[in-house]
Amino acid sequence: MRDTLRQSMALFHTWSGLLLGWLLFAMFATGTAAYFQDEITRWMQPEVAGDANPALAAQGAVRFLNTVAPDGQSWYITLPNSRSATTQVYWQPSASKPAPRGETSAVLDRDGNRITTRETRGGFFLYRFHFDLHYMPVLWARYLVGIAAMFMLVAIISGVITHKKIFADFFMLRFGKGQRSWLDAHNVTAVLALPFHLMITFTGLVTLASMYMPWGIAANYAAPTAFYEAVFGRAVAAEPTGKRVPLADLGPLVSAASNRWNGQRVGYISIANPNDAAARIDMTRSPEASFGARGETASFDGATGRLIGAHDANGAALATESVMIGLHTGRFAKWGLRWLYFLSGLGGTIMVGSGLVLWTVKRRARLPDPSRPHLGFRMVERLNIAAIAGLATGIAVYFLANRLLPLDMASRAEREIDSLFLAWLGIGLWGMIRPARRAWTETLAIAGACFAAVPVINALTTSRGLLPSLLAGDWTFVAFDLVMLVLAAGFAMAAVRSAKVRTKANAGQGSRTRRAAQKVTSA
Amino acid sequence: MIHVLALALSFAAFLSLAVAMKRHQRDLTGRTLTDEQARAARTSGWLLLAGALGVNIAALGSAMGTIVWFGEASVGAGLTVTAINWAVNRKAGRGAR
Amino acid sequence: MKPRSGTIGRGEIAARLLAAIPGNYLLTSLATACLARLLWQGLGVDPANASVAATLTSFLLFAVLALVAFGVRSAGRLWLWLAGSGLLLGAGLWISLMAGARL
Repeated sequence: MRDTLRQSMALFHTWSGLLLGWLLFAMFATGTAAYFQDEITRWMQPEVAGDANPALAAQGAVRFLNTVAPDGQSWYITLPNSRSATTQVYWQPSASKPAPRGETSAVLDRDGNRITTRETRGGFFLYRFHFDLHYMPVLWARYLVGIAAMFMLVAIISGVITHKKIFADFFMLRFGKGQRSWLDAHNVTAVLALPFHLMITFTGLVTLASMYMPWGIAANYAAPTAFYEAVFGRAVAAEPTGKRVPLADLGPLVSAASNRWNGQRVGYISIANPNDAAARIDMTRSPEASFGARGETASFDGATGRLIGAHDANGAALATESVMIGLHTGRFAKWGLRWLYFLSGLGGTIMVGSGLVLWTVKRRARLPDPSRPHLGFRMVERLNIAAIAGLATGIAVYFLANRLLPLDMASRAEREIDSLFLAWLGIGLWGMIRPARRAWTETLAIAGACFAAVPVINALTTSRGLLPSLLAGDWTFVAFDLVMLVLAAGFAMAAVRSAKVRTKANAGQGSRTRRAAQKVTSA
Repeated sequence: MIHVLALALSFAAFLSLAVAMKRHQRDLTGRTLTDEQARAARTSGWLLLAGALGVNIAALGSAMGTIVWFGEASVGAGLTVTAINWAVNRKAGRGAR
Repeated sequence: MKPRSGTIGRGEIAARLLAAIPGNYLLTSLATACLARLLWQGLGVDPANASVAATLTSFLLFAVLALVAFGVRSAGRLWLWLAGSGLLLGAGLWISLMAGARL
């Protein structure tokens, strides 16, 4: 009985892990990068330097919005946090004067001037790809990602149950032992960061909970809007009166809201009916100021600047949810904990990647003729190459494109993203046409070379290369270039290892492999 | 600074726990420990881990301290795995010579 | 691999997969809705917190049910249990919605 249970769990773990592993690998890799999304954005906007002040940034944003959309229906301002230097604004133009598509948002520097030199979506793209993917409807992507996360949760639990000796093998990582090494790598990365994996998977589901499991809200509320009003306290905006009254100065209001929250920063401002007598300003506390991702809000009359309401979602369940989302996104983390998040995420990425490789390594030995595997096996092998080496190369190329594409290119930000996927596709195709083992070595080497090229190209195309940054004490840029070099070294090592495995396998092919395979099967 | 101290404690904790395990003793210490020594290593491992938690909580508060502790425990365990590998390789190298 | 005693057949796996994924989602949804109603109408938790508490619990419930679907001895009995508790929860939800309207 216990054997059947373990066996069916193992089956489930193997096959769901394989089917969703490719997606999970991409989610883990981009999610890990997203812990440094603000730093990545800074690196991708080398023309922007210095830190921003929230009150000044808010005033600058209003100055900008007053020139582009003085009579817009609403304005949205995301203020810079302590790690970023830019302000994001988005506006809804007035109903009478619709703006051309795509011209309703802008990135501003700390003085409220539009940044036009190097259009990029920066680290924000990697963050959004983590759950919105790309080239597909966001809704579909989020359901796909949710299914993968749910399987991950079940896979973690079933993995713990299946792997009897999980704690006896706690420190076991043996290199150069073929299948055993891959199993070790999979187990060690899984077990060492097990608390992180459980937390990140569960809280990941929670971030989009109302989409995956809307029935808890539907049971108590006929319309979901009533629920959101109760939680966020956003009243429906009043109709504009048509009487023009200039908007109150945001600087003092930002300070006032911040004082209400014990000095915690304002993160987000939305303004309904700006420059109208019925204007209303809603401010939300910055997510980096506390564990809870769902910030308190304060509302002001936009014409007079008078505080008209403050909202603080309370209750145990709402607070728990808010903290869970905060734990997932890690916005509150200072640099020390941020690196721990990054390392744990890297562990998760390796766990999924080694699990994918393990699937093929385990089966290769059992194949009737290991030198000529069947179609399904070959497909998995190729998809693994595309998923692992392809995505890595793509991300490196995304950074390279940021430095190499012409600065005045039309829809430059989109072209950067296209470069990522073109490189990914290229590696995928390379993996298809080359013999699989050789393709591994080659694509891993390409990924390593691309990462190594990033600091070089950065030094050649900007004045903020590794050496000048080091001399200036610009640790964001120093760390970025160093991480690129570490990744390059990692992929180079992986390429060398895979080449060694190849020569060993070639030398021992034939009867010896077959005999070894039989031994594994009968064991 | 507090991260360095707590990380060192976590690393020491997992090294002790590894030393307490039969399969890693020979690699790390060059000999097999008596049951008593192994028990002492295991106890000190858990105590060190608790100490790391205490340091984190004292410095960062109970919520932040616990979160950071989990992360540092993972890194400490990872360092231990690296250390064991290093010890094994060194021994293998010496054996070959 | 040599077939061992205790290896599960294809039909059995299909039955368990259907139970573990779509069946599980239906049952979890019903349970979540019932819990949200119970917390609000029955135990006096405010409706927003009741809904969120039920939603947070649902992911754990789904994971546990998925494991149970692969763990229990007979797929037939598994489906019997699923259908039975689904009917019970559905009836409870229906009665609760009849007794007190939604916001």
